[in-house]
Amino acid sequence: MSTLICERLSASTKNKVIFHDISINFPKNKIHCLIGPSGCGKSTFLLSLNGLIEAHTNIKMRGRVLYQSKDIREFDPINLKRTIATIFQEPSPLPFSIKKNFELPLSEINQNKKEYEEIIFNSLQKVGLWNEVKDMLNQSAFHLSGGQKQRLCLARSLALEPEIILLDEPTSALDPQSTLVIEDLLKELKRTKTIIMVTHNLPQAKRISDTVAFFWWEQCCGRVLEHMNTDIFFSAPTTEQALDYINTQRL
Amino acid sequence: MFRLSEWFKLSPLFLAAAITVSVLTLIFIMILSEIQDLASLPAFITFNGLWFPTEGLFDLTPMLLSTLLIAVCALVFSIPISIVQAYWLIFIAKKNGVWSILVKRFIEVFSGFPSVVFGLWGLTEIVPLIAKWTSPGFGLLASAVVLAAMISPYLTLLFEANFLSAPTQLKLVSNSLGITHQKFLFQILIPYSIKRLVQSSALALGRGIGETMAIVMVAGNVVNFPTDFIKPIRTITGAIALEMGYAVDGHRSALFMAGFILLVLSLLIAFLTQDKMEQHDAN
Amino acid sequence: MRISSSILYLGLIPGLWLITCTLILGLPQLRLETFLISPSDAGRAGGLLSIIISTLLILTITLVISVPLASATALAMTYFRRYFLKLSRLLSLSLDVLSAIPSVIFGLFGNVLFVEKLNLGHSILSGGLTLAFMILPTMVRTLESSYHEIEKGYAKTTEALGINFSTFIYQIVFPLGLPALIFATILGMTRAMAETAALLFTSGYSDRMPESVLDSGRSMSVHIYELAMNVPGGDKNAYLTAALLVFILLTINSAITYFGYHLNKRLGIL
Repeated sequence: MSTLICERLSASTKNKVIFHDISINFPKNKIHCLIGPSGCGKSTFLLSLNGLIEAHTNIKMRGRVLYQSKDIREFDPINLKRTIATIFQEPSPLPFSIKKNFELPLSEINQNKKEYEEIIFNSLQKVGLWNEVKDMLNQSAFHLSGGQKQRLCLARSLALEPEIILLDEPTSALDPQSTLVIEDLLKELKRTKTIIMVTHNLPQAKRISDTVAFFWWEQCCGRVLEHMNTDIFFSAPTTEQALDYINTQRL
Repeated sequence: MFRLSEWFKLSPLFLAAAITVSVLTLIFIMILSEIQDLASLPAFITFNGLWFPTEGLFDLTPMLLSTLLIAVCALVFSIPISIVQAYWLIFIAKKNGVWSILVKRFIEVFSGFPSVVFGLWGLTEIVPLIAKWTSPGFGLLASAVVLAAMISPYLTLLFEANFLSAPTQLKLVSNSLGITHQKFLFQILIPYSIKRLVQSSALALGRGIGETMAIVMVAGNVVNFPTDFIKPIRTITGAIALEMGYAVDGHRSALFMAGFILLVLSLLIAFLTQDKMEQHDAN
Repeated sequence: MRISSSILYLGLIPGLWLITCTLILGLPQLRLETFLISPSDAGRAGGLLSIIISTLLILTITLVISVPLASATALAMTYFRRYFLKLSRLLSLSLDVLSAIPSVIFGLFGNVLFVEKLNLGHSILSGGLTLAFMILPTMVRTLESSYHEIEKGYAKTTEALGINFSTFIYQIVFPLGLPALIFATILGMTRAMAETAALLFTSGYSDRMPESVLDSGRSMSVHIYELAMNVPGGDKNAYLTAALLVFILLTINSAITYFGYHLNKRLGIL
């Protein structure tokens, strides 16, 4: 059963096509990795899945993204971003205390301040950060390490109870240790959420993903050449470009 | 785009923006409302040099010419100084050296100094100095010197920004070719940024035209055509500052007409320098 | 090279000359009673108490009006810049034009609107209101540029979290922009303190102690002008007032530099 379906999705600026005619189904409760060389529209594609890209750039989208069989444009844009959460490459805590980082987005959906503590506890527990930060909830989120910040951002999104989590190279700014922690976390989250993730790290994609979509720059724009089960992709890719890409990464 | 509650929460901001925008319109309305007969504008430009507003004689031309001439003279005095200072600050002074920071801070402080203090200084130092050479000392020369002292720090900061916006390769390439400072300044940097420099100078000119206090204290304030460097003259701003206190009826209306002409003049300059702002916006 | 270095030093002479002569001629007149009694004999004798009080009152009114107005306008501009670019261009054009208007014109405007039409008379209130509108464009410009930086930095993150724009503006951009607001306030304050022409026909000349904001009051800069121009033998006290004004402005200026540096460091890690 698919929760998110892209139908002939294209993106372009005034004078450049970024990606063209992409149709993918993202089945529920799985980790989907988007891989491929830089500059072929993976991040743009990812952020177009919840309409974030159009609000902040002059990129225009064509085609449809269906969430629960409904075009995402029909949803309330603010609500949609809560159901389809986004985690960026750079850990992006707000420059306030850890607690305030949760309270600001929560105050938009839940006026009952008494419940906040429990929500904060649960979300931090889920990302395994509670024991590390329970004594410094009122301190600036900027004092955390990179890996902690990224987990905090994840917890902050989880507090809003999203259905789908979009991650844009969430571990590329982190050290290997923190990367593994985040990966374990994603595997854990898979049971209840759908995860779509851009990564340049092929071993990582192999380790955690269920399906892989392979992006390639062809005929002046980004395209998806393959979208299939991870095991099959890494053992027997169907296109030459994918084979080349896997082999160069192995070196 | 938004829900109604969002618009409601943001409405105080929109209100404030509306007030800010309306100030410009309000200024026009208020000044025009005090002018009895706008059609009498030709009577203000008769070139007979007579300014007796209570008797219905209001020729603004001597004051208009004085205003413009003082501003232009001050600009002529301050442009070379400001160009050299700006160039020194960027290309010659040691970056973050004590001397360069001191000079920069000094210039910054003086660009926002009270004009009335400049006037006081001019009145008690510059005017007596000129009077030693030829009495009475008040006039175009004293005004231009005081105004130049006032706008040159402002102009230096503008020029500095202009020079900084030139590409750094320009300097690197010139250095590698062994071009001297003099050649670089006059044959490469100034031609390259001439458009911006002119716009900055126009901004400073606008400030000079609008300056009141410093000039009213050293110009001598006699209505005269500015035919001589040392003859006392009166500017438009000076007339407004001196006569508003007691002006009534036709006289008051004449002063507001003078103010209106000044307003239009400075808006004209603001519009002429506008495309600089838009470039800045596009970046 | 010799010519250009002499031009460089020539350019610094007026400033140095001005500041030394102001301080040398002004400071020796400074006594304790300068701050304790009001001027007498048209300002030739006595202190500056009523002048200082009037100045402070005018400044307070100016800031009370202009700070909220300027920050709200700057926040609105941040909003327009994101959703209605054309409108923000229009706003910024009108600000540029407004900041090019000579202060004496603001004086005329204040005289008509506040003194006559709103019937506030020549009063501290009229003067303060006039100055508030005069420093508005400078303050909005300063604020708007730093609000825009903050908006750019956190817009994507907050939208991804489903935070409404109003919450974003009020609870993130505004608090993070507080250092900029302080900076803009001080900047506006120095401009208001330095201003004379706009006050001449709005707050009046009276050197008596103001009893309310509806009384006429003379600011320090107007006092300098009056003593130098209209009171024979007032030069000494004019210089005293000038020295005080210069001293205050220099102090504020150094404070800006100092705090500007530290507040900028704090910006982002609040």
